[in-house]
Amino acid sequence: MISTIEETRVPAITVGSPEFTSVPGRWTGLARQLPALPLAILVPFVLIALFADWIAPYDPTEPIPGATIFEPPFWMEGGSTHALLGTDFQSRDLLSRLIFGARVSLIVGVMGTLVAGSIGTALGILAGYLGGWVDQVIMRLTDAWLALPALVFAIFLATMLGPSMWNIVIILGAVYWTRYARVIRGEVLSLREREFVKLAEIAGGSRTRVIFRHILPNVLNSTMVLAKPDDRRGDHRRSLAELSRGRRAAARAGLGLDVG
Amino acid sequence: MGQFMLRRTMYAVVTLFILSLTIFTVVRLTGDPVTLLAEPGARAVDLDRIRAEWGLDRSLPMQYLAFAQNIFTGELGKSFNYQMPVSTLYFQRLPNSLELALAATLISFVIGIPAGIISAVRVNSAWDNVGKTVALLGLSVPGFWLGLVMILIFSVWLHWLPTSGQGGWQHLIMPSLALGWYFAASLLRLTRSSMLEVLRSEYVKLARLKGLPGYVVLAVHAFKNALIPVLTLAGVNLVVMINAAVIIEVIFAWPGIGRLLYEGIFQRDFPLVQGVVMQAGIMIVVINLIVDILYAYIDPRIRLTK
Repeated sequence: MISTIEETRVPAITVGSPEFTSVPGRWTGLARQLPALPLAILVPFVLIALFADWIAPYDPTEPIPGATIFEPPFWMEGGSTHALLGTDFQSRDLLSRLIFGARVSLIVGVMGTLVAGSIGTALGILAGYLGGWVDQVIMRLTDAWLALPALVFAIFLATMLGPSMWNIVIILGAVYWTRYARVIRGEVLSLREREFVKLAEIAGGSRTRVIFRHILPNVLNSTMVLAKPDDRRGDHRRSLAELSRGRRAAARAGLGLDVG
Repeated sequence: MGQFMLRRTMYAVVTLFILSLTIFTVVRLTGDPVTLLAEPGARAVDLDRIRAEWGLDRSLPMQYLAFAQNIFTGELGKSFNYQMPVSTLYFQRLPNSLELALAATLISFVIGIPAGIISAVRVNSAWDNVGKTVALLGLSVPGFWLGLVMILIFSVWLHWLPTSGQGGWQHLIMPSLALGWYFAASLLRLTRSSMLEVLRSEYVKLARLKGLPGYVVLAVHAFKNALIPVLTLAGVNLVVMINAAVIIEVIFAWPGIGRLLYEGIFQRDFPLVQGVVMQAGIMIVVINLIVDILYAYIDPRIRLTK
């Protein structure tokens, strides 16, 4: 048995060897797999966010010298090309504020998802793997927090912590971890019974080792799926997009981060 | 079965206990309500008097006990601002919220379920793609933006519909659309995946082999079974829409529970916020409990798992 496997094994390919470079279509194949349309939408946003300092025509926090408040955009009557999208109530350039806002939105969206995903995954693994009263405590807490209206909860935490970018990240993490915890716990419950986990335990692997080496890599896929703007099982999983929606909603309620 | 129901009910009670502790703590972290209740520049003596009047001078455990007692009596405490029991306020607003939530649910059904079925029956067809696009838009377009754009188009430019407030059916169209679209998207996705699952099952294959016409297989055999999770989601959605349609109600000045909650938060009206959140929490937990028990009744395998 073993010998046949040895014989049929594909010869190892190392980077730099002739086999590697001669595999036809390796990179073109990868390029074809990239999601073109999503990238076409996202990449400009990321670039704008990264290079906001160079792109924005004005300082987003300072009034434009000589401009009046509430100037309309350039295509409307009374607008001018020096402030393309007009000015706000403090005669600051709206275009520049939008450009800098992209940076804040991206950081908050990505970091909020990361924080929520990390908290939820960690608690889900603990609940599923340890079981017993740890499981009970974590799952009842999850149920209770799911019953709280998420937006209301976020508004509360915002009045408490005050509007700043990192506070919003903390708030989003504190509000949206629950759905990760629920799904990941379910996954861990079935993983725990699988042979490779049992064998790792029999081989003397500590709980920490089993969690980090055997459980965590197998649930990360689900964590990623939950972070996508997806609602496949309809349980209102908040996605990255929805996280920044929550932020915008909070901003409307006068609690959001003001750019500047 | 009895043991299962007992365990589930106990879980629900524990969940509500944690919820009450959480909301009790969180409202108290937002600040001192007395400064908002008194006139600016009020003397410290007067502030203390107000504090004593509302029982805010007592220790936190005592305040929690009073809150818990108010939950059990069903009164939910007395609002600082309205000087009325929260339950009275809640049930005054409930018909308005129910009107909006039912209209939004109707819209989400009308859009979500047929589109979900078509997407499932004709996978990867043009119809499926249209459905997916509608769903993705519904999930990613923020309700408040949709609301504001609709106000701009239909009220400000075309003068077809009133901008806000409650009244005839004209007042209901825009807020229920803005609220319902998001839920339509999630219903569409769930209907689609649920139908796909059912259509692959043996009994649907058998129904087809028996030679039943395609629409009978779809309507009688597949749709009815695919509907169970969809209705569960719709039930939970309805509760969420009744209690937490905050943004939409604020934009359209709809006198519902969401706006009551919104006012309560900004005026630090502790009993009001605690009461409304607990009311919503109880509704959600009880619905979930009933669903769990019904599922266990239908499918005995569920009873055995924890």
